[in-house]
Amino acid sequence: MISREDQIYNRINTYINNYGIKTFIKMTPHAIDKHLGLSDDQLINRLFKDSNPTNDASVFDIEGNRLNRYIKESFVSIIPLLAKRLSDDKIAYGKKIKIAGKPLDIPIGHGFRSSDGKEYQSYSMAFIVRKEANDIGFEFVSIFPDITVSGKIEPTGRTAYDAYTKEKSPLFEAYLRCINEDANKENKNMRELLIASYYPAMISDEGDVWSEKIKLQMQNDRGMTELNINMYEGSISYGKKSFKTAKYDQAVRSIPEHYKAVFPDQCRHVNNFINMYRHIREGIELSRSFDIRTQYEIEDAKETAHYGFGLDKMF
Amino acid sequence: MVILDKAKLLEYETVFFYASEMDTRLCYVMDQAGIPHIEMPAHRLHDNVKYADVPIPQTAISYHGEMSDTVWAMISKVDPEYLAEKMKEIACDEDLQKIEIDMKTEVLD
Repeated sequence: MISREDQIYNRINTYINNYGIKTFIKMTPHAIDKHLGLSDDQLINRLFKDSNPTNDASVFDIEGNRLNRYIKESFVSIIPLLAKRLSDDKIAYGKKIKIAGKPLDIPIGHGFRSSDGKEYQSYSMAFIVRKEANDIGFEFVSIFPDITVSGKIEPTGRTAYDAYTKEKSPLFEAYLRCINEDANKENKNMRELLIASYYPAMISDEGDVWSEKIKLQMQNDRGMTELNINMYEGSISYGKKSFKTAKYDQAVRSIPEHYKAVFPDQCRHVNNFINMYRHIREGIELSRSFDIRTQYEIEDAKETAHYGFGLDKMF
Repeated sequence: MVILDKAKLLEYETVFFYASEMDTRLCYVMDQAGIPHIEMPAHRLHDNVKYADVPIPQTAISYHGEMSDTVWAMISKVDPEYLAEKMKEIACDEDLQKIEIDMKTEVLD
């Protein structure tokens, strides 16, 4: 007897062959539109506004018939996995399922990955479908170039902040978000939490002027400490009450030793971040630590982008 | 679970061609064995002078030994003949299929 999985597989396959992939996509015209031709601004906006940024901060670099052809090729490659998932009774109707297709022969899009703030080109597409009790067992929700780990990716050498120029607030928010995600992912077994938040300059409803500020909060069993960096005044404060202020360059040095031990990488990010900010705003020379370590990472990424080079070094 | 024998490593790096459909499984097996490798679409191999003259096949092995025309290339020190022998096992290994599903699919909300 033919299994339920095979039945579903055959049904999807038949549907695709009879009606083509376009009929699926028509169900959700926004699925492609929202991933085509976005600017850096829009991309970063999405990275920090969307609640699921990794899935959405990506954009197709190809369009038209070429894109349709690759969507079909990619979709055909996921049918076996899709059939398996749809026939799994543990997955309820109404649930969304994300499936990554096989790597394609060209990079089809790019995007920023929130976990490290770097930009990648992707060779794979991801499909999000919702399990439904209709003819083919599902509905299309979205399609996008998959820049997450399970997809095939290639670093472009850009980072989220490279993509941005002066005075672009979303950059800083996006970058802080990266810091947050890294910190909390890497330290999930520790009872410590780092929360970095960015507050753009604004005028409140009451007419108060708020200057641009970065707030770093660290929570642990003993409570919470806060580090506030006021970009406008060039001062920082830490502790629950603002009992101390200092200049920017002191800010970095003043980050408590404990904080450095728990979040060494994040500490470096914060350091780089402040220096970069001052570099853009005030034209200060970038510090040596910014130069060496950050550039080094970017160079690394470029190297792996050239396939076929560097394997010897890995042995 | 298919295990690659590290003793089969050559002194020099070589190219192995495979269907991109097999990418997740093959890379997983390589990673498990701790074998460094670089993968790329086959046509990009010629971007590197070192591999400019390597002939690229039109098709490569895919699921259950079937052929596919989406060819990828992998550079490693694994003997290509040995890897070709192992590909059928890798294609049919049920544990690897399960790993592939888990790596490629995710149930959201």
